[in-house]
Amino acid sequence: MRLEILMGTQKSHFPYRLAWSNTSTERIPFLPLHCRDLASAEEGNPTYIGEDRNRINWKKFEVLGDVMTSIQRSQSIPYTGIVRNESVQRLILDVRFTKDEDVSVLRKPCAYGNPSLLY
Amino acid sequence: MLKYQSDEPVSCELPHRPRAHSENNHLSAPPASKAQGSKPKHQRTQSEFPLKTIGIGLKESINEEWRTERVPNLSSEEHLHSDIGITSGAEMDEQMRLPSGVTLESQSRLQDTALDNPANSHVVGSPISVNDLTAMDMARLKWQPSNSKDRVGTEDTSGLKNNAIQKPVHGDQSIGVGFDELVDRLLSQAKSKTDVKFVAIFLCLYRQFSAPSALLDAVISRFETVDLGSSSQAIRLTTQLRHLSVLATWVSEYPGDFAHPLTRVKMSNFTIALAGQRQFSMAIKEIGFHLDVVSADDDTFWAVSDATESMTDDIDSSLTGSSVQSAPLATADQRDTTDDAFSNDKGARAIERGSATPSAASSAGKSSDRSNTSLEASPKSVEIAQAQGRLPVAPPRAALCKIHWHYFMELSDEDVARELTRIDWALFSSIRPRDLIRHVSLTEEYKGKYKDLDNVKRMIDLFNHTSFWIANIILLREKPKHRARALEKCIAIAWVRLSDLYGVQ
Repeated sequence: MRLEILMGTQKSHFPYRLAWSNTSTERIPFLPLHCRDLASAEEGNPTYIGEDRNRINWKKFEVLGDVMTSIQRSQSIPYTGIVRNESVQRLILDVRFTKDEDVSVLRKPCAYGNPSLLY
Repeated sequence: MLKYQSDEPVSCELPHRPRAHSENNHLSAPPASKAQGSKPKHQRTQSEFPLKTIGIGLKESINEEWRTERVPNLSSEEHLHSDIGITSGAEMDEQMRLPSGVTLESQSRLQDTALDNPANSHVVGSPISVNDLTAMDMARLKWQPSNSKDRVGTEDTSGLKNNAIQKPVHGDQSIGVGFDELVDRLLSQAKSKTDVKFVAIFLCLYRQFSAPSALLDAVISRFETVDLGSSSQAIRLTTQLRHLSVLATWVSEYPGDFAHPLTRVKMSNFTIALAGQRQFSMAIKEIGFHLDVVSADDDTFWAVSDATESMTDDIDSSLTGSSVQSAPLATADQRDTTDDAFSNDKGARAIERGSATPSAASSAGKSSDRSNTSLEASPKSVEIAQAQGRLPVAPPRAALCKIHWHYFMELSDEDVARELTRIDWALFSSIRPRDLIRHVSLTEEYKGKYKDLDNVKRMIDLFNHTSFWIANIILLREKPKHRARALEKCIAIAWVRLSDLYGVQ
């Protein structure tokens, strides 16, 4: 339940954004969201204003830059002291399974639905 | 004048501004000595000039400090000026055209913030949402009739998502900002948190509209213009050191911008010319050091690059600084087959940087929001991350089965969470800021040319892999009760990770 509240998609992931901007310890961003922000800012705004290419739409870069600075800030605080856990890593990474969205359909349909997985 | 006296000690705090990027101890040492020496000079010259100039000099000293702390003083100085006959901001503009880097652009900004007294605090300075933009700009236009233009430019933001954005700093955003104004702002004194971030943002993104050589020319010409100014030597020196620190940041964080031979030659000529002057020696040494390890990387031929400009015509003319560049060409991806000619030894570069810039690394390690404009992970960890980043692409072996499931259920939540975080972090820290920009802005056919985009791709693959993994492990067992247990465990793991990540309880 708390997970749903934190990562809910209403208001464009508002709780996540709030938590993200208020955290100053080590953190890893939820990249799909930030990439989407960057893509929409990049495509939704022209780089130049007007016919000639002399007037730069700096607001676009401000928006892009805000996303970038928060990500860069998070990169500057490294996680220290985590040791590799071989068995867990192997469990997660080296196991073969079907990477198909319809995998749950192939198995017996369950009551939990098929979460959307790709971004 | 009592007020001016009280400002004096504060203006000497100039060298201790917490600009924590590569402006390390080297750069602060000379200004400290200069600032001490300048104190009596300031007092001397002030008594000679008429009252008007005293007021102007006062305003100049206010420029040198953090803007936000000086608002009350400034508005009272407005009254002082009105007493001696300078009433309108426009008049002040003309008289305050000091050639020491305080350009018209920053004058208008002073004007903006001059009206930033408590009565108008709702107009500027507070973060606003996109919806409120129109109303606020209307209110601002009332106060600044000289900037009355329709706000076509700001409506571009309607295409964005609805989250809070900072107020625009420039008054006439509607017609965009000229390149020169941006360079001026880049090199001017930081007056707010936005300005501190401005340097980092600009250096990251300027390639969308300008080639490195054009920016370098602009910075160098402004640097040389400072010498022609008539303000005190201390101010000139500070301004020039600020220029140099911006250059140092630029070379250290985006060395690929300088890989084009002509740009690099221009830069090294500039540094060599200045190396003889003692006050710049530290800064020049730092720049020169970063310049030595420049090699071509993904940054070199991306977006508006030197290769697209007609730089190869006449080496002499470009070296003497005459402007060769016309307006920047296409912002879209330009590709070039000559990148093979440059050796791409990014790994070696990272190692060299890691061994010799401990100060940059330590400043990168600080977590203060306000002053951390050095926005790279420390070089050593980049190298480690890139080495580790290659790990998770080992081919999978066994198919997921019940044994795995039981093993998974017996693992502690913290172990799994920690391992997931470790892998994520290893990949994430190898992503450079411009990689993300390239990832969102380039079309598929061009992406193959950039090696570093693999890092982003790996991160995306890991994300998808993890999500499929979760789905599979839950759905592995067919009985609902087993699936419920697995689901609960996954949610618990997710919560462990999130409470570590974002501090939520």
